[in-house]
Amino acid sequence: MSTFVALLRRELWEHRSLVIVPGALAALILASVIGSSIYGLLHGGAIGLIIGGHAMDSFDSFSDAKSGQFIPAFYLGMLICFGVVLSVSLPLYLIDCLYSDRRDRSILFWKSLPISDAETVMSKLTTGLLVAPAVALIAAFVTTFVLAVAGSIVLWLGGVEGVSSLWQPGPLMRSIVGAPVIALLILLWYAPVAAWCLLASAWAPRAPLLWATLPPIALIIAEQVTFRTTHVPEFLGDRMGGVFWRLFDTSGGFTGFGVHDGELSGGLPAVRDLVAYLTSMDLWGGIAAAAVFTAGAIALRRYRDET
Amino acid sequence: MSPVIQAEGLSKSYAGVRALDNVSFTVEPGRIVGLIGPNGAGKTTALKAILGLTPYSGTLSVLGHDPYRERGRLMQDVSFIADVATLPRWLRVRDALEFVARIHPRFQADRARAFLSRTEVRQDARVRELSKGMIVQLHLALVMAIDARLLVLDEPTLGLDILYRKAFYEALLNDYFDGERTILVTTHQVEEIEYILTDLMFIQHGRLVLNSSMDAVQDSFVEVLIAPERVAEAEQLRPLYRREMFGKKLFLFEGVARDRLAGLGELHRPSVADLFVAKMKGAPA
Amino acid sequence: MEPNWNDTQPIYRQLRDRIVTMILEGVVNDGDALPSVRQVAGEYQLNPLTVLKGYQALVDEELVEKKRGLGMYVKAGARKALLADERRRFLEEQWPGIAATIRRLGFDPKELMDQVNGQEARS
Repeated sequence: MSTFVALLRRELWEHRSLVIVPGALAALILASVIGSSIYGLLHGGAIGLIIGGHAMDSFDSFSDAKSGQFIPAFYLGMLICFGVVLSVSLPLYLIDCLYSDRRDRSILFWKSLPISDAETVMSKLTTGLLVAPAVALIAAFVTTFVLAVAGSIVLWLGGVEGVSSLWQPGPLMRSIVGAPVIALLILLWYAPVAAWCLLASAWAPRAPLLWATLPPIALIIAEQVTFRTTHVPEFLGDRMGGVFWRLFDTSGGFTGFGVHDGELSGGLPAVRDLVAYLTSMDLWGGIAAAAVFTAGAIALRRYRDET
Repeated sequence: MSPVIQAEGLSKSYAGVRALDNVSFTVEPGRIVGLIGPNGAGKTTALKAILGLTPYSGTLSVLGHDPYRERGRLMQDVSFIADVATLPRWLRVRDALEFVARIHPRFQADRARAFLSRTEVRQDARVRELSKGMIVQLHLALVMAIDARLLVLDEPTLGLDILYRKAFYEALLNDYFDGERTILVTTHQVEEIEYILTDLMFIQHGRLVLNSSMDAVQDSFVEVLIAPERVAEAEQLRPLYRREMFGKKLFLFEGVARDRLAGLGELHRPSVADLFVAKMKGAPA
Repeated sequence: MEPNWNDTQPIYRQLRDRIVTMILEGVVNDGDALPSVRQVAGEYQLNPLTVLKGYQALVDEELVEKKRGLGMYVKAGARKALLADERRRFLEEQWPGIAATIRRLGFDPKELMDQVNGQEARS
């Protein structure tokens, strides 16, 4: 166990961007919100909250159910922000992680230590699917928390009524617990994509990014040219983004908050049937593919002559 | 005591080229073995096979294990340094110590730290901030703090200046080698390990051209500065190799008794480098 | 410490000779400890077995003794024995040749000695 933990730490030592990028994003968001607020105050403005074009001077008129959703929805917005950034940094990490030590030959140092190749590959997969997302989640949470607290205090000091209705334990607890759970479910869907990146990283003699992206593109083109169909791009598109409609009811679209008839409207999208998701063929087919790609990456790491 | 390495009929081909051609040898514990050969001779292939980095045909057993199948397990008892500067550039010195301590059951971080305290390597430095020589010092510190039974060194001092090279072998002999650990070293700079070796192996075109203890080598190889009037007589004894220096003929003999050669001229012990040239170019023994 | 071993004698023999020279010149005295095998191996870049052989040769000649758990020590009277040995060898092997040369060149031995002493006084 201690070995595996040491391997995870090694990943973060080597790929510090996995920690620095979420941290920097959090700092940037906090700095810009707090910075612009202070700027505004200094220039004679006031801090207030505008929802759907209306300046809020009181939350009292809204139902508790709706007010309680406000901060969770804000959290969701943050998670989406950090998630988008992660969707770029994660594949880049996975595509690089089994290539970087082959390029500078430091693989010979790692191979001189009593670590199995399976442990090595699994530690990188774990970093990509668990550790890095966890770091991003924590960063999003901290950012949300700081802004929510600071924002609430400022609104309260500014005389807005009913600010405390924003802080309801029920919805807050649900979102604190729900976020990691939903994140895990989403990451499960991306397991095959992550494992594919690992495989490309283990295989590529050079330019692993090309090796990861060109085969699917080649397949798309081949299918178009030969059969004039688009099954491959549809399938790949579904693998990349299909988890969201499977998990959330997006039929109404994510409208964001607005004020209608004296009531807050919009809010968090509803979550669909999780059991159906967890037992679906699509999900498990993907996990099976992930297992195959990972085994391939391990075999390449183990048996290939690197020198 | 059972041998540390035992190879029989070891062969390996790359794209039709026989990198190792039916090589057999045994390495006993407590020896310092030099594996010398020109580039492409097969010594790197032999080392890779021993370290479980490449498949092979024939039998090879290292500390009783099949290296290719049991590499992870083998690396608990085997350490190696492959070329200078294979340490990852982003790694911090103290993190390296901590990492190896966590994953290696036979590593003692204190020993490594003690060794490093006698160098200029700072604990908080990253490998990319260190000079080549300091990187080797770090790698050596790590390796010497591992209680391994076999240490494999592949050109460990390549590209280092003389001070670091001397310090390398001095540390190895002073602090690490205890008569029970075994060291296998390959190098181009034969002169610097000439007197350290207990056994010598020459490899050329994937075959072992020489495999013998240094004592046996000193007994069987003699170089003679032939007095001009005895040249014909010397030729009768079928020298392995001939060369000329300052107009004088130097003949190298293998397996000819010293007293038979005594009258022919001055007797010299050939250096390993001269022996190497002779074996590579000379007539087969 | 560049040792520059020659290629006519085995290394262990040359190591023995060096230590003998050190004893004769008073660099190491009777009762002094010799550096450990490992230290010498490290400093001179030699195999420890070779160093051990050299030390063993000295033990066999009764110049050095091994004290259990402490190491190798120069035996009492080693310098005297070596000096006596060197003197004998000089008189038996080298002196006759030198004497013959002196006679051949027609030197007056007393003049020669004054020369030697004079040179020593100057240097």
